[in-house]
Amino acid sequence: MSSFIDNLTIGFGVALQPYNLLICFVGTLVGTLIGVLPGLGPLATMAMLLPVTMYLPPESALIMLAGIYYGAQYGGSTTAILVNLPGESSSAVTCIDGYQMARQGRAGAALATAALASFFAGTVSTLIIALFSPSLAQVGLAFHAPDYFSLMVLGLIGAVVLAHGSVIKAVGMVFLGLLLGLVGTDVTSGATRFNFGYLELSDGIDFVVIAVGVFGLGEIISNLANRGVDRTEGIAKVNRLWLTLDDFRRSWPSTLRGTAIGSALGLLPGGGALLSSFASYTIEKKVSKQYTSQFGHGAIEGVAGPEAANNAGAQTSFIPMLTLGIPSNVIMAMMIGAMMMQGIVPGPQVMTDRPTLVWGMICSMWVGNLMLVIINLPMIGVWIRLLSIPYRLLFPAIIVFCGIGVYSVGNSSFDVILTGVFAIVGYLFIKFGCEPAPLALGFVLGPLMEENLRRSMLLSRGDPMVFLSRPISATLLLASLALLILMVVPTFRRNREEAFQE
Amino acid sequence: MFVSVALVFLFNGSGLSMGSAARMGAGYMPRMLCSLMLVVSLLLFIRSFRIDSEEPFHFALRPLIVIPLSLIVFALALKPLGLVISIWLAVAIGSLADKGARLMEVVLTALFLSIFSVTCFVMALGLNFPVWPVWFS
Repeated sequence: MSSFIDNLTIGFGVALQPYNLLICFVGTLVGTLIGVLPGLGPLATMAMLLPVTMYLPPESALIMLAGIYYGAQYGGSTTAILVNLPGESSSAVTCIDGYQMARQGRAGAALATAALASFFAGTVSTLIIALFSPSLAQVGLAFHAPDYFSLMVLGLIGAVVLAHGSVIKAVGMVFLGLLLGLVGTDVTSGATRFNFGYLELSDGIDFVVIAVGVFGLGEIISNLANRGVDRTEGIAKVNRLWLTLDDFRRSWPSTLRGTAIGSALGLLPGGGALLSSFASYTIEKKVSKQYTSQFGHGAIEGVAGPEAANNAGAQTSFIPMLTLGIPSNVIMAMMIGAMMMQGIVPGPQVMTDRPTLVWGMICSMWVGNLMLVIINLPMIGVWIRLLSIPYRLLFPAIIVFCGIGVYSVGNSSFDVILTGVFAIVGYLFIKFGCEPAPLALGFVLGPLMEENLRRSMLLSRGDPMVFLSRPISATLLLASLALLILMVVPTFRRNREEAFQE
Repeated sequence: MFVSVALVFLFNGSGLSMGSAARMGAGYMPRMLCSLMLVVSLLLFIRSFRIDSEEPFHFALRPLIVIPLSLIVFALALKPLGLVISIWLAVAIGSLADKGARLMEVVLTALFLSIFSVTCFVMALGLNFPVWPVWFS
């Protein structure tokens, strides 16, 4: 317990430094700013701003990225409530009841509920991270190469389960991502692979290039193609930003449940904000006896629960990333990418080697959540005005920022051109119904998996049974197998399809 | 659906030849992945016969070509011509992606972006960009 307090002290020491406070504020502000714009979720926002953080010290860079993440997440909810357009998939649920509330003239109440529920969930999950990370990192130290390999397998299968649409396509995307991750010089033998005669490719493809190209620009092309982005007509009016006593009474149990669901699901590989918010909505609908008929027509529980859940899930998904160095979803893959660009090797040793980094980031999350409430409630008018900027003015700006961002990572024009190519690929993925998230996860894990596979094969002298004879590894592989079997079982499949329909 | 299968297939096919081209230790993992991907594409191919949903594909060719193009022009122009001119070029080309573009707005966006980028990225963050063409400074 005393170490718990020590850790928090270190953390707040870092998080409350004026410079880091400023960074955190800028991160949440920019995150909200971009997250509010429909069609640009946390992923695209982080991808665009990832290059900028390269110029900050590691602590500040991660603080800023985390800030951008929950800022964008929250901004997405604002859009969902006010214009019925989710900024990203995890706030799709908020649309259902949030927008209905707004239409009934209760936009203010919906926004306040979302903000307070998120803040509460953020506080609780920050505490959970601080409590459980050290012990998990201890477990992580017992991991050897085969165990890591199996853990990554589990993570990738989790990503497949959660991807929209066809499972087989998602599996294909994982493989494609792994393959792309292997481009460049092989660490062990020094052989150059797949550089297609381009010298620039021998260092591998930068994560930023893939992230910006596929997630940022691919989305823009598809937005422009769909033309569903003219949204100025339906912005709801915001009146009072406060809740009635009745609202409070109804929303706090949902918030509690949402926080619990989110915190638990965020830990799962492949879990995080999206799964949490869907699960919470389903549960709220089941639990609420009195107001069942109101769901879909502006039930405050349908806003409070999922909002709490997605924030809690978003935060606890940092735990596997921080303690084991394994990203459980794409956003965490992005964080890992940022860490590696800063020269930090992710893994359990980060906890002990760089306490200021880990605890500084954890504490800054709480600070950032507080800032979100401050940024969002009083400044809601600014965000609404932002929503009325026409898309045709926005997207050239996004192109330019993407260009500048990618260029600045390696001062390389080649990277920018490659980003353009991946933009086309990204659009094709969207068109063909292939979810790009598994690809990004595979891309980050590719080199790590190869290294651990090689190391385990080396240790076992080429005997693949090593993955089954080690208890940790065997358990993880069993879990992966179980997930795969679940996917094939028809009833679960139907449930999954239904969940994505909603 | 069929077009998509064909494309995924093509993707994998080229992946395979790359795998066999890489040698020995370094080629092990790629080759494994490529064969797995072939299995996946085969499954997709078989499934596409079973479920035949003849959905016609509509590609939005205009943004699909214009957006990457503007980025590529930006990349090529950056070193010789500097940041400001590159931004103007990128915005001008990029705005062609949308039919509703108006000249005045495009000019204003480009102006705003170049001022913002120079002050924010070059002056405040100190990123290493040539702002003006090489022969200018």
